[in-house]
Amino acid sequence: MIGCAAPAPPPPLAHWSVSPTPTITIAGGDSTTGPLLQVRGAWRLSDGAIAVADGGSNGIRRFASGQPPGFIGGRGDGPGEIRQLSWTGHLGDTAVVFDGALRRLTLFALGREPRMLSILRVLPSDERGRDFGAIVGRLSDGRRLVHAMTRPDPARPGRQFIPGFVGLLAPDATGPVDWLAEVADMAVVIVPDGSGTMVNIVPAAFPTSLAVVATPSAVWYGNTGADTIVRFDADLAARTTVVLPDQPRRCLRDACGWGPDRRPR
Amino acid sequence: MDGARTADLAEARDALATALIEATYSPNNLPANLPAFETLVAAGTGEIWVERPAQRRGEPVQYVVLAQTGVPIARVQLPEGVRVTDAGRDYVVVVHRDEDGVETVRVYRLVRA
Repeated sequence: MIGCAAPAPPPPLAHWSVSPTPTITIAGGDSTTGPLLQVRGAWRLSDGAIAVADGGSNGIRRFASGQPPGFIGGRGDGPGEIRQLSWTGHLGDTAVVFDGALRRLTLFALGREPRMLSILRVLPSDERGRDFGAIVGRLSDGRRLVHAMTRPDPARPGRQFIPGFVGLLAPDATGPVDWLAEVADMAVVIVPDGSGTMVNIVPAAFPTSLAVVATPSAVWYGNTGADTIVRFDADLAARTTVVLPDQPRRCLRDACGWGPDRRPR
Repeated sequence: MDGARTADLAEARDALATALIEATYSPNNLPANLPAFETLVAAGTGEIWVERPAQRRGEPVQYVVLAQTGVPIARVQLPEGVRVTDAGRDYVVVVHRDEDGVETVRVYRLVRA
């Protein structure tokens, strides 16, 4: 008989720390573009400047020490303008903006003089991609990460999850979406209004949803109510389930084993 | 839970909004557990920063960092009211939102000890 050893426990996680105070603070509020109200993204550029995707002004702002703030974008439908700043990403010092209303990607170079580089229409050929898909990332091979959330079922009162989907679209943003997974997305509550013909659809309490991001060679996704995330290796087309470290999660319903005195049984 | 329900009801503007909020907190419409995480952030290093939900309002924000392979490698605690938008080897970019909804972007030095 060969003895079996129990698997070694995972190494403890390191504890990283941050400086007690920020090294840079950006409040907006300059005379040209006003305060920051709906920051969709912020990242550091190669020269140390900070780029801020501002949904309030529908554009990208650039802040660098000793330089006047830069801005590109603005509300509109013309080249370089944005109607709905739905998602931003970056490739080095190039910002990528997905306009959810105009269904297009715009690339901006964020040097000292920001400028528009190109516009790409997003035209998936399948119905789900066309009607519900939003670009939310990019792999290093150019494929676009797509997140689609369809509709709830109004005929089912009570709590339900809207179906969510994760997929990849060709670099030129055309053709069918290669759907990788269907995952429960936003939790909502369907409340009939009593007339028998209308319902109210509202976000559920303690809402959960589908989180989706891309790194150069992988897609990561999972419902925020779960303790696991899926990592899809885009090169190998292989999935791995990542288990998040344990953290106590309080139950909310009696089914979790709480007694009438509201103490754990 | 009672605190969350009370806070939501305080923002209701009319009877319909109140009724809808009450419906979301009825026992049949509650989830079994609190969310396990809030969001995922793809850092410039290829790592994934996973935002953990706060247990109570006003608490510092906790993140778990996953390596590019998916292996959890670190925990990071950040000031309350911030969310991470980017991270590098020695810095982290966050957005802070105050009670009036005004946002500031902040950069902190990150120490990977």
